[in-house]
Amino acid sequence: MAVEFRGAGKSFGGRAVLKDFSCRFPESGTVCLFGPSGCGKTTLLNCIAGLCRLDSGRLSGTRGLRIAYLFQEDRLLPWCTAEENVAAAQRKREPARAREWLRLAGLGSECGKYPAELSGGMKRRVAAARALAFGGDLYLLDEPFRGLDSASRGTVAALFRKRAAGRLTVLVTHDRAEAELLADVTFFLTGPPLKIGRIARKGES
Amino acid sequence: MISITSRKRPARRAAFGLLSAAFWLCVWQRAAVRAGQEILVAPPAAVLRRLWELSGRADFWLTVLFSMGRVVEGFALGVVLGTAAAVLTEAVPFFDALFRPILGIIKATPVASFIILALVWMKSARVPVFVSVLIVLPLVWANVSEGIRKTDRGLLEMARLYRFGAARTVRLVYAPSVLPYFLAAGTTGMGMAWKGGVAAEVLSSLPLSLGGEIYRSKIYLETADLFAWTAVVVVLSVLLERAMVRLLRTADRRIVRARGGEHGG
Repeated sequence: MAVEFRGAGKSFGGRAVLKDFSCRFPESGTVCLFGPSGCGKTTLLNCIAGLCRLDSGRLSGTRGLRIAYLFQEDRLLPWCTAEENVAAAQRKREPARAREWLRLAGLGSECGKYPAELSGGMKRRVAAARALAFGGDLYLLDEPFRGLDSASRGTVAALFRKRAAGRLTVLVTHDRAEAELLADVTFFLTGPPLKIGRIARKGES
Repeated sequence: MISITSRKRPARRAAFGLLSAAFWLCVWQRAAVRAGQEILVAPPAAVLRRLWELSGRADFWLTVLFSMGRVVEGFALGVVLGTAAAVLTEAVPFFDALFRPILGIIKATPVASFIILALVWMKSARVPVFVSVLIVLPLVWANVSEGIRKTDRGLLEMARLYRFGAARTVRLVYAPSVLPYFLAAGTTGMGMAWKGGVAAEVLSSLPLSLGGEIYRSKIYLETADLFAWTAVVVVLSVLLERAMVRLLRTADRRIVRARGGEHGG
């Protein structure tokens, strides 16, 4: 069942971020949300994740889904090592698999380090490894490549592409080249309140 | 929130500690000389001599053991009940509304009132335990509540989304967040439990109790004994507090390491 907003409304302190917003996402593939800061992209992801309730309208297609959310902030447990952070998201505790995800993300030698001992880019990759280890039915990636160099970007993007194959990935970015490279469909957004200005399929500019 | 983990320049701190102790011993000695009568201020040497004599008696150690048992029992019960109350009132707003006034009343009521009431309600031997509970409970309750309230909402959302479940969320998110608040309440509470517990022993003039011995010293105007028993209370309170801090520091170590030096890149 496809994720769909129908006449959705959401306000924060009297400021409407979503107003009569309707949008249907495809059942699989990568949808890129491209738009200026503060237009409501993260609110949209939070609503899909169930972290934020709509004031009005409907959201369907998310019930019972395992959602792997790579948050805009890393949200790592500061008192747990990189390996423990990844293992925490596993259904059964499997340290070897957690280490494997970290190794694939290029952090094989950082498994025992705490977030405070890692650089911003490393922390981002630990958060990505955690989302990958969780293995959702739906992937929400909010600026997933923030702070990563081009090599790491390629590695992390390839891991998500492989892991999320056949599922829906909703990706938020400010980088147009990144949107064009990764997305099957790009929603060009304006707001607030959030509006879809244009929809571009892969290959269309 | 206090930090129990900073151990900067231990040699220098120890030297300052010794100097400070020597200074206050001198002040005490000078006051005793000035007073001129041991009944008013017992000099340090007389108190030490009396302590040495008392420690040679079997009932001295029994007294210490029983008093310590009562205070530790009261402290432990206060910690358990305070933590349970904090969890309950933070989890269910109705319980918060119901119990919040009780917390305020316990905090505002003079310890002496509790002691007198407890003497009416229960056996004398239970009064120090009861009073220690009443002193520690609101302290732990308030601190643990604050720790729960200040737990990072972002981490809780992450835990919910990644389906940590209740047990893993408590172990990995709540417990480490609340621990510093718990430590602060525990260290302060231990000292206060001693004060309250011994005060209750004094007013109930319990046999085989430090408070009871203090009371008897006062009745017979044995000031050296009074000072000696008080010194025992102080030393025990400090030792127990340090032992607890050391025990909890082990748990805190991971948090301290986790919060150590951020670096960019």
